[in-house]
Amino acid sequence: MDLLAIVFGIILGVFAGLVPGIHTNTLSTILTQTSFETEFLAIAIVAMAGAHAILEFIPAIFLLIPDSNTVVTLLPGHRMLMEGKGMRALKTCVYSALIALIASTLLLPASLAFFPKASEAIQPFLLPVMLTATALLLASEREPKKIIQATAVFLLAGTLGFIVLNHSLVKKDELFALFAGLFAFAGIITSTTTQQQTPKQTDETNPSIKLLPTILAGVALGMLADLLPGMSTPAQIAVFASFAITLDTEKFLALTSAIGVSHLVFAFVSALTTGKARVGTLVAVENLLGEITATQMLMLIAVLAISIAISIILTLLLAKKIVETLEKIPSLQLNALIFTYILALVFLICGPTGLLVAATATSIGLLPPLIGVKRTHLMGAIILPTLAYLAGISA
Amino acid sequence: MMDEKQMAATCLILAILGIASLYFLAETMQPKQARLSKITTENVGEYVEVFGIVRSASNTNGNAFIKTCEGQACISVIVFKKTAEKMQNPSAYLLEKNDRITARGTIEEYKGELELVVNKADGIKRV
Repeated sequence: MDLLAIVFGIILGVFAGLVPGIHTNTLSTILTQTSFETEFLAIAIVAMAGAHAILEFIPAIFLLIPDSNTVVTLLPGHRMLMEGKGMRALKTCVYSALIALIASTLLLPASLAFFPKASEAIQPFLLPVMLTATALLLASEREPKKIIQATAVFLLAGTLGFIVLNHSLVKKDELFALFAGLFAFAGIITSTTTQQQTPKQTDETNPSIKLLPTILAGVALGMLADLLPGMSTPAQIAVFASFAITLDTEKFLALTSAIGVSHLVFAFVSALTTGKARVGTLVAVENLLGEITATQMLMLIAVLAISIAISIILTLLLAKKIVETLEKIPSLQLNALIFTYILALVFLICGPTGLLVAATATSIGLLPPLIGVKRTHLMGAIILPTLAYLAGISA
Repeated sequence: MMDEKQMAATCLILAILGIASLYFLAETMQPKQARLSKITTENVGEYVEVFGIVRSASNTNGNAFIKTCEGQACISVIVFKKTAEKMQNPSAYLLEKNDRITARGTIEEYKGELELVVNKADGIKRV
């Protein structure tokens, strides 16, 4: 195993994780065009994916900057940040990721036999289960007036998501423009208008062992994310799962973090057993190596494990420094800086239409706090297109 | 200053206007005319129209795979089952070698190869 390739991959993953907008798929494509040996590149790409999966929690929790993997951690992460528990939120995410990694690896032998059959067996039940889960999400508002308002928010976000995801309006990364508007811009505007100052982060305690069952549930759900067509992001699974399981903020973070890592690990199994690589970086690895063999899979999972373990240590070290820096910057200036940065990214990555998508999404994202319903209904932006796909309405 | 009700109403109007504009853009969007020999990874994600001659056509689990060439430059035109089943004139399943077609769709990259994914029922025309 090439240690230099692992170090190189981790450095790239740290960079991509801390600088939102630098997508690992883009870096993978660039890497595959270099003249390094194929095995070196495959190891570097997998190490980068592992590091990125951990480091990306920092901008999600502390800066409210979205990514398709961490979007569901934005709201609970930000809530804990505003309670002075940002470091605890981060620890919950990274430790859950570590436990999920161990559990997923232990489940690998069983999953090799299970994967080819499971996808077909689950498929017929998916649509009714998801429709029920969506109805439960909306009904969770309890009061009839709120349920109607929540449904309106869900449908607005869903319609926007459906249009954006089913047409080539935006050149690249349409989810980025969508999430930037729904969560980042709307969140920044809300916190600026209500003059919320990020409090001093005082709670650095470790998460409780009681999170273990939730993390294990996340591992099983992450496996599902690799089996089901239409479930392109772990975020979709996390949102549906949160309807079925009663979760407090920390449990939700643990669940989504475990789903993300398990999704990454089982993507290798999916590629090996069904020939479908459901993760962009793995597609790049397949392009390099051809079909992945069982031996290569084991070697690459070991690389992933090493990368994640090292990245957890790096994340906790870096986060402390970042928190200290952020605490010195006045909230208004910090918000303006993040807002401008994301706006520039949306324009550069998604083009002018991306700005229209983000502006529309911002208008929808501002509605839940204004009318007093949960912001979770904004996830209609990915739930409705998924339902449409499963119902055969969209391709 | 606006109160919360007025702000919510403004956001709602802006959201509906934005969605309507994007829907209009999506429906009226014209594909970029592209020569097969000029398509590169830079075009990934773009909505294009290409002309070509069918080199081979196959059907796997309802998904149509149409290898289309213009001179030496070729691309796989993919019509997934859900779109292919809606196609009638011509049906993606009935295209034959040497048919001259135009195909509209999005350029995507799969396993290192560029392909054109047709996502509308009128995305392929015989010429």
